[in-house]
Amino acid sequence: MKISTSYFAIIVIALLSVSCEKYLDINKDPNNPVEEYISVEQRLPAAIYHTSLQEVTQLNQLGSFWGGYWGTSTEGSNTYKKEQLYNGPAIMAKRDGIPIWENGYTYLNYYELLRIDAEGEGAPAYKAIAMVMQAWHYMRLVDTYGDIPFTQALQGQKYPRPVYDNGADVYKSSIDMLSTAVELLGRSPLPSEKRPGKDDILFNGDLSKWIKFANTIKLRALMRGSEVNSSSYIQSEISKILTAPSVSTTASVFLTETAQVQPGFNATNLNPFWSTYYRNSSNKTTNGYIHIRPTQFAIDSYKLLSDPRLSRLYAKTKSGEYKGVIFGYEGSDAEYNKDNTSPLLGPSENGGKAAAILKSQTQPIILLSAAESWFLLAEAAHRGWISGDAAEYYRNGISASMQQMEVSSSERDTYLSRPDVVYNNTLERIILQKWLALNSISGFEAWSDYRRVGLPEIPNTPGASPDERPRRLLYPETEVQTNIAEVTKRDVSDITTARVWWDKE
Amino acid sequence: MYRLFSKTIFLSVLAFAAGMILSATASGQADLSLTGVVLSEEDGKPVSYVTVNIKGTNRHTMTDDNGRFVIPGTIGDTIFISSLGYNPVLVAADNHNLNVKIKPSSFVLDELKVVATALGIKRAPKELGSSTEVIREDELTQGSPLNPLTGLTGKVAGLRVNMYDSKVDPNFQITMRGSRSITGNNSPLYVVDGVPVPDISRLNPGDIESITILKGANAAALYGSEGVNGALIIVTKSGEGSNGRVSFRQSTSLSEVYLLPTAQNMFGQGVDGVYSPTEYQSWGAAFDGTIKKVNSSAGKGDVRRNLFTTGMNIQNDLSFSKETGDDRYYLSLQNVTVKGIIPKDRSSRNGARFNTVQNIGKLRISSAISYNHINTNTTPDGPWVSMYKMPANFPLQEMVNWRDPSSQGNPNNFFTTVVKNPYFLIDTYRNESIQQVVNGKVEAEYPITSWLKAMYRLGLYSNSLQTRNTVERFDSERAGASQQGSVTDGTSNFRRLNGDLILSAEREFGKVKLNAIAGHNFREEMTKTTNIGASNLLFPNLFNQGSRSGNLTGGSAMLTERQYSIYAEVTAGYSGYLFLTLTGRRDKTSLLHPDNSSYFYPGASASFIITDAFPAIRENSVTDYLKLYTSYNKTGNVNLSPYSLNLTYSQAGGFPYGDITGFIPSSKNPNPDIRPEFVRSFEAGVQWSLLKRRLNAELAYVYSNSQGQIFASTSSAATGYTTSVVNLGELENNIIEFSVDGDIVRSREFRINAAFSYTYINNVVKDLYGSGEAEEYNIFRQSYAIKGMPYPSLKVTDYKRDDQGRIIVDALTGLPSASTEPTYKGTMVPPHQMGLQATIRYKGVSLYADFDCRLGGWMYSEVANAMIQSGTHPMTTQYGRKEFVIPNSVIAVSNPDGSVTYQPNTSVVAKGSGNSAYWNKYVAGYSVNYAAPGDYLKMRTLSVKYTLSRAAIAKLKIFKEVTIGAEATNLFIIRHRDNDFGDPEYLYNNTAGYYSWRQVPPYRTVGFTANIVF
Repeated sequence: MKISTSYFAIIVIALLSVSCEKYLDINKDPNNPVEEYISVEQRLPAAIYHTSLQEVTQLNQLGSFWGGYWGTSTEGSNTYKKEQLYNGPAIMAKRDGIPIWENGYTYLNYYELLRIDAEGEGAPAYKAIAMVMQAWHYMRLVDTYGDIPFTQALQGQKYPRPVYDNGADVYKSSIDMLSTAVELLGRSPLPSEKRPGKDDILFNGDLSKWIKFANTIKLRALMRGSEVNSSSYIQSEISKILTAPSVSTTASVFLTETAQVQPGFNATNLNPFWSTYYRNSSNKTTNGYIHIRPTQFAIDSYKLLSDPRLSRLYAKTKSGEYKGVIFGYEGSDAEYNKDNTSPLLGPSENGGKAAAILKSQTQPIILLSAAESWFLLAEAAHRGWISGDAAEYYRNGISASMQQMEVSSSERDTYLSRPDVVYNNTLERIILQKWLALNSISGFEAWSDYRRVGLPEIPNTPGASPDERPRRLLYPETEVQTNIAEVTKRDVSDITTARVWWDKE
Repeated sequence: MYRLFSKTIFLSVLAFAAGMILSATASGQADLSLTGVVLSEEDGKPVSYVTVNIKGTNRHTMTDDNGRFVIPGTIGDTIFISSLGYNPVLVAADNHNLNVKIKPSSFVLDELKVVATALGIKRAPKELGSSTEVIREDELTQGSPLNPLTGLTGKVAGLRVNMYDSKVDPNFQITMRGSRSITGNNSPLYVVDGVPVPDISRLNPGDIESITILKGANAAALYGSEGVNGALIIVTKSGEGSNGRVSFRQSTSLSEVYLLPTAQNMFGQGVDGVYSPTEYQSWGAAFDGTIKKVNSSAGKGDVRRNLFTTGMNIQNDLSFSKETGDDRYYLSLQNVTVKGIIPKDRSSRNGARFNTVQNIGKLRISSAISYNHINTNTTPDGPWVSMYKMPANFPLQEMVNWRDPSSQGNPNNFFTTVVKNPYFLIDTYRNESIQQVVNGKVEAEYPITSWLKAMYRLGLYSNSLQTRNTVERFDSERAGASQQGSVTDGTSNFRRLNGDLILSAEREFGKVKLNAIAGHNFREEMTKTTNIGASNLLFPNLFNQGSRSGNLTGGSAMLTERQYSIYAEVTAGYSGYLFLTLTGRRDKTSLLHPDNSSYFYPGASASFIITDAFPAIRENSVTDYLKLYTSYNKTGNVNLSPYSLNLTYSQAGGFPYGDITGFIPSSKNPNPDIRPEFVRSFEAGVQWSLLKRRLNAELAYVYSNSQGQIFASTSSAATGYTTSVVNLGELENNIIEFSVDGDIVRSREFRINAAFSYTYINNVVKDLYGSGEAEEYNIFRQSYAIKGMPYPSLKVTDYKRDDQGRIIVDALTGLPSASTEPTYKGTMVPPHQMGLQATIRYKGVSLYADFDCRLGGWMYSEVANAMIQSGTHPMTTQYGRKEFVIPNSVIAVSNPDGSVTYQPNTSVVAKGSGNSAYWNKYVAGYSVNYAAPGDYLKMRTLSVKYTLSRAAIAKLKIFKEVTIGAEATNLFIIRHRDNDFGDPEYLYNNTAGYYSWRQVPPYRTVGFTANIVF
């Protein structure tokens, strides 16, 4: 009896153990796909969407505040206090801060995994697109933070605390990445290659447009160095672009249409600019619409030139005027209440017609406008970097903006003939017109131009001394917590004094 | 408060008064008492201070110096007689004058605390090599808690119980002997009737016979990894009374908010010192008594308090039990109704338990099943968050009837659109939930031979939760006054199955006694959650996803994890005074890669009863009992959720758009190579009873070290991922626990007993990422793990200071700036924790009080932060809203040699310091301004109980026993003088010492109870 009992126990335990391997083999996620399920065409749309989302919300918003376009109604002054008071520590905070760094690298990783996957799947076009967009994001991060990880970035636990590379070097490497990508995009594809189609929500699979887009980004990147880089470096990089095969005119190698992202916005999934700064899916106005107002400076700038875009951009107040706010003003004067100042004009205030910025809830997201491309060419020609007529590029830039902002061709022509609009061989005029064209579209570029060339002369927040302007962001709190050695080396403690590499005092 | 007195309370009061009167006439009724004498079987001499108890009742007495006792009782009662040093005996009362003999034994600890069970196997405490404590029902139910964890607060050395908030159904954080895991779970394992369960908050404290607290990691060998934090072994009632027993208990208590953060009432609404009727912030002009548009006089007292109502808690318990031979049953029913301190918050709970033990020949089958149905209907945090920002002149009472279109509280008329009317939030934001918890077991035990038993136990814990969160739509022409309607319905089903096959053997070989257990365990946990929501509902009072515009949101997830284990324990006892136990367990889990999924962990413990080994000590000194014990354990743990080994993808950003899909990877970097984490713990202690057991003391030293912790550490976003799963970090605990309890006065009718416990915890982060790597980890908000520092540490944002700690200000603007590194303040878990329970018993009356004291920890409050911003915090008025020179500030002066010295600033006023912008940026922005030591002393419970004498009961005829009482909780608290923020015990998101901006202030209760046995 005793022995048989022990045997019985042993057998039971043995039986239980044998079936265990199968019993425990249940750790495959039944809820979410893993790497093996996902291919390049499922990665690309989400990656591009997030790039454009960051551009049109986070970056455009900060840039529009610091680039002179936006202020707030008294109702919104608390919501955007940190931007208006240049409160660097509040902006770097993990909580309630502005996570441009975190989002930037997260989206960079989408492209990194796309790039790796594209190599594995034999899809060089996807790889090239990934590189173009990585260059875009790296340069955005340098513009915001100065020195950033590049060589050791995006490698997971291989480099848990990636060292920071010099901002200028990241720019150079990004420009090289763009060159490599253009090469890849230009080669004739093998029949077996996977090529993007409608999953390319930016150019619908048109690789020639990707080449032009990459060249324009490169031009923008070279322009950033206008005040610090040697012109020989800039010239040699520009000549690389222009010596590519099939160059007919200088302008033909650059993007002269607006690069815009359209994944297929619909009545429930709206354009994010629309749903953040205008109306939600039940057509109710959002806090962004209630809180954000143009600066009086912006309104005056259009008024000064009798600019037809003014009436397409903004709605009149009840008293029938265009009225802006003072950026950073902390008083609660009734004249700056939401009801007494002009919001952005949208179809609901425009007889159902499309306005300059707000056209429809399904409008595409503008990633890079045609106007900006033309003004970059105008400035490059003005600086003598490229051949061609700066005046023509300048006019094309204004025309592109007028078209974008629903201005008729006759109004446009009247405007173009104004003596205070006609190109007068000054950088001031190019940058002013660029600034007027990028309003609420590419605020980040406006802020960057202000830092680069100090134009146009946008008013400062009332509480700050004249030389106190936001020139960058502090390294985010998450970075202080995880990579303190690198952060300490840079010793950046004030966003109004420390500058990024291309921002010359 | 008084208008809320219900009939129940009134009756309770009446009964209480009646009891007092009856008691005066009750003494000396001999036929209703049992008397007797207790003699030692050894020498026939009377034994004094023996505990005499009528089994199944709360009636206790003690023998006097002549061994005599008198206790209310009748013939047929069973009397339980117990004393240290003697075997307990059960005597059936066959006449009114009993003569009981008791036999000396080696069981020297208070028998009321004898039962220490592991896997349902009973052990004498002297065999245990680690510290244990037993809390019995009467201690647990002081203050009539709804949740057994409330009843444990402050009563056990080393056990810390913290309440999350003051909601009607609050959560608790419970930690035993410090923290072993940086981010994971530090709460002990709960074992109900032998089955490990994830939660006991739904267990009716009245069903609990005892909770044995196994403080060491020893429990892990028998229950698995979760036992690494100790275990609460809960035994529910099994049935007693051969004639059956029916018991009814009623308790009602009222609760009232206290410890509101202080608010200023000098300055009214407005900005820059100017009154504005449309501004919610209190940065306006000083109150001067003139009547302005809204109301310019600050109310009497604190207007914030008026938001709260008097809460009420009504508990009814009914139980039936009976024993017939070895067969028993116990049936209980419970109904609880709770009304919260926030208007319209309510909850109810209905529960039942049925426990049986049946014997069929040699087969013993026991089963237990409990069911609880809990309904809650509450509003989220909004009303209070709104309220503490409101100006002191806010006419709260006019806001109640906001649905009236002409009401000032109506969103169309409310004075601001930035902050909402609290009553609007209460009425339009509702969270409802229905939770059903089933917990049960079936157990069969069969003796194979005289020394070998086999047992199989199958346990089930199932938790089904249905939630519905709604927001009522409100349409307004006024911008910012509209509110979208939304509804989210959720269900969550959790089920845990646990099966144990246990063989246990017990044999004696001469002076050596061997106990051995071998077991096999399987466990399966399944969770399924589904939720579906819509955020744009079309109709104000129709909460269905079908009537929406915009997207339907929601999803579902299923999680399954399994593990199986084999384990063994062998205890060898020598001559009843020396014991050695060895344990071992091997787990295999589905959570890890098959190469790492199996892990073994051993343990050893020993105890030595000096007074048994050398009886001379007992005979020749005041010492009655002296035990030394020690143990060592290594415990493995897998602190990981299922499917954590691979990078997963999901659709985001509105994808799919038609047939275009868009997947993004998770921002958490997985680690397929993750391994179990291991905790090594060591414990040594001494237990000492002396002076005829009037004084009992225990002292223990505990060390634990946990390495290679599994946690999702924040990583530099530049790695591509914002968190990464790692096996890193090392936490060390050095703990001293001391407890003493004793009878200060002990006579037959009068007894004063006090128990005191003290715990010192030194919980230090030894390592985080390895040498040369980052030395701190942000746990949550201002809570950090810092290498070489106590865990968890509070670090606050601070001003730039000179080496004397003076604030450096700008020479021109007088404004401070931020120091680059946050400042360390201290640990957020108090290292010194003390508890004191005192009982005074005179005849049928007993008075009980318990106190809880925690010292040396830090806290910080985000309510204060928000109140500074909105100008309602008294700090903002300390300079009369005028510009001022920052006290104790200095200005940097550059010397010719390039060095910098700091000179006191006496004249440069801080620019703009009279206005909100300054306070926002330079005060609210620095958390150093709202951090304070969290020291406190609290009186948690005070209760008076009276048990009616037998004579009085006889007159009432139908009752066997009647106890009535009054009780109060949180009567007072003494806090550190710098803490005017709130209750330092509260926490948020598992972060001790963090007083969130959503935290509702605590409450105190006063109530009555009545317990009647039929």
